[in-house]
Amino acid sequence: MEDIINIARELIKRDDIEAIIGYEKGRAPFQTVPFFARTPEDCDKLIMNSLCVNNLVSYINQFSGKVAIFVKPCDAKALVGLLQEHQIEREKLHIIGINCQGALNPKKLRNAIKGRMVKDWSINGDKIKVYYESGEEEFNIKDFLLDKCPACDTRTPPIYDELLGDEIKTADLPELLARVKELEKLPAAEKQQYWNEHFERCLRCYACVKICPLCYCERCFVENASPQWIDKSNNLKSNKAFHLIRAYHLAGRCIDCGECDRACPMDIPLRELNLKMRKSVEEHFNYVPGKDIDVPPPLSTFKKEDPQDFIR
Amino acid sequence: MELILKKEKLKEFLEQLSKNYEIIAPVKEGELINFKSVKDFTKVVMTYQKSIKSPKEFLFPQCEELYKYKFSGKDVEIKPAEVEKKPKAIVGIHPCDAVAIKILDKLFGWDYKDELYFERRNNTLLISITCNTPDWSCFCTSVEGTPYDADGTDIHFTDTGETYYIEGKSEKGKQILQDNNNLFTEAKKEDKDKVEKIKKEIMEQVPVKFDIKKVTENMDCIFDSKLWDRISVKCIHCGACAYLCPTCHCFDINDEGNYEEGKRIRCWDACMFGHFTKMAGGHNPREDEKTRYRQRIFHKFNYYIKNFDTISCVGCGRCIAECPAGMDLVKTLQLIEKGAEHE
Ligand code: SF4
Ligand code: SF4
Ligand code: SF4
Repeated sequence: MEDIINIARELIKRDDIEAIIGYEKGRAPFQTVPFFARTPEDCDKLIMNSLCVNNLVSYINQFSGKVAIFVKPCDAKALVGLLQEHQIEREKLHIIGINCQGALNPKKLRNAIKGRMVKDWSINGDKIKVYYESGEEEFNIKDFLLDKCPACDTRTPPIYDELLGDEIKTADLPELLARVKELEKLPAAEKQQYWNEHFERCLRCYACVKICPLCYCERCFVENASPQWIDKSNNLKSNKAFHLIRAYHLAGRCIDCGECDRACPMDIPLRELNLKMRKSVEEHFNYVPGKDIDVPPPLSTFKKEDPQDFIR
Repeated sequence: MELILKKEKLKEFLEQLSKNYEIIAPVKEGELINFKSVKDFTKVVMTYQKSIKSPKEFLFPQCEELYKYKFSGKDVEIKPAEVEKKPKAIVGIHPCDAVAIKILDKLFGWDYKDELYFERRNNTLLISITCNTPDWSCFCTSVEGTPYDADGTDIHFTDTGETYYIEGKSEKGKQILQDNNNLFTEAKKEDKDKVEKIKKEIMEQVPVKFDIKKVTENMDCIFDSKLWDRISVKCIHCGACAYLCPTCHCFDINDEGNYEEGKRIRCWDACMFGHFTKMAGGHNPREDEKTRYRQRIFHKFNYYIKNFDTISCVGCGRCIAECPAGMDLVKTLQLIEKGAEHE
């Protein structure tokens, strides 16, 4: 923790840096929230641990000047995507890379404490310690990882100006697409029913859209009134249209940060949908988004030798 | 009128009630608790920690038809929407959500009396339950509420462990209890004492977080404060807070149909959406997070008081617990309590 505070304090002294984008502790047990440090005193509030879940890159364009930003591999992957799509100026950024061994699901942890009032919590190695009004309890971090984490092959950010710690290599990961393959095997009618049950719950609050770092369209198709692409009513037909169009628009772009999944108050498993698109893009174009800034995204590039006529 | 219902008899009570009412009650959907129309009363979860959505949608649905229209030549035929006729009973509503309905009544009964809303409202029985599982985000006690005082409901339950302690509140509620008196036993002094003890215990779990008088007093001079720039940066302008909130009531009116026929509908809308105030010509008076977030707070803690003599927040904490960006209404109100000079 001292590391990041010292780095931040040095950076904020620089004339060219307007703010440092990181996290501070939230009021809830196991909550961290995005935080923007603008003074050396602010910097003391910065924290960094495996409960820092929000993807921070969406906030970069809130600032007109240069910012320094702490990025986990997920944030960095989104950054790669946004830089490739020319949504952020590289010169406006100072990127501090943070290695990640998996982030925790705060909701899962809150369920585990069964409503007991928490005074404080702390993370130590692979354990999280919870202090109640009376007594304390320890949990194993690995039991509370976010769904996206166990199979993640990126433990060091793919882009940074300075990195805290050394690069980490991964080995022996569970299969990322196991769940997608399982769903693919379902008969069409069951698949339909599975998704209908989920889409029916959708509130159309658009938390999934707004939290997504790659969903940056200035005017999302769902907001358009003329023409109105989908009904305003949250009926199954429109909800389905909304989610499918969104998934298509993220094909080859979604970097699997899982923020949509986390943000959804109605527990709709949006990651499963996006992973399916990831699988298709990987199969057809041998491309995984967010990995390498120098590999052009397949859906925004073309080759002269493309087998299809319309592109030539 | 205070009675005792054995827990195993709840199902029977709901069965009796379902003869005249459609039962709306909290049930488990995956990890979520949600109010649903139920037929299998064994599924009802009376003691629960905050439902994800408030039950306001049963009075004010997310989308509802106002009327159907049909063109024939130059004429247009209009068919007003009809509200379901079967009375509903919302069972297991927490006090905060019940108070929220009273807040909604004021708006829908204001200059224009909203017929659709009141047809449902007058046809809905409210059976509340003391909330004995408040969580970190709850702050009803800071906005003049309590976890046990469900003002304006018909019948009130308290979970005492093995039994429910039941109070008839309205005439209608008392009558229903009377009609089913074979299910209940008379409450004794011990029962009453037990309930008082429970009340005291829960109150301790929801400590007062700010002085609401001070907050509302300060609102008038805080409109131009720099505070709003600071606290709104995090907001991602989605509608999760407004759609989960039991008192938010803004809606948008649209047509869905083709050139021949269609329906006019109203759907929930949210002041945090960028397009909420977008005008036909493209101008948007609330273009950024700051003005939109400020609007949400002012509507609840200033304008609503001026119009209806009450704030429009019941401290349910949903907007705090579910905000994916970690916006915290309690923190905002604490800052306002301190006044603009501490920005
Ligand atoms: S966050 Fe969930 S409920 Fe809200 S629009 Fe997205 S899928 Fe629907
Ligand atoms: S679609 Fe979901 S997982 Fe993919 S980049 Fe957007 S928020 Fe992240
Ligand atoms: S503003 Fe937030 S705490 Fe207040 S009633 Fe609405 S959701 Fe509940």
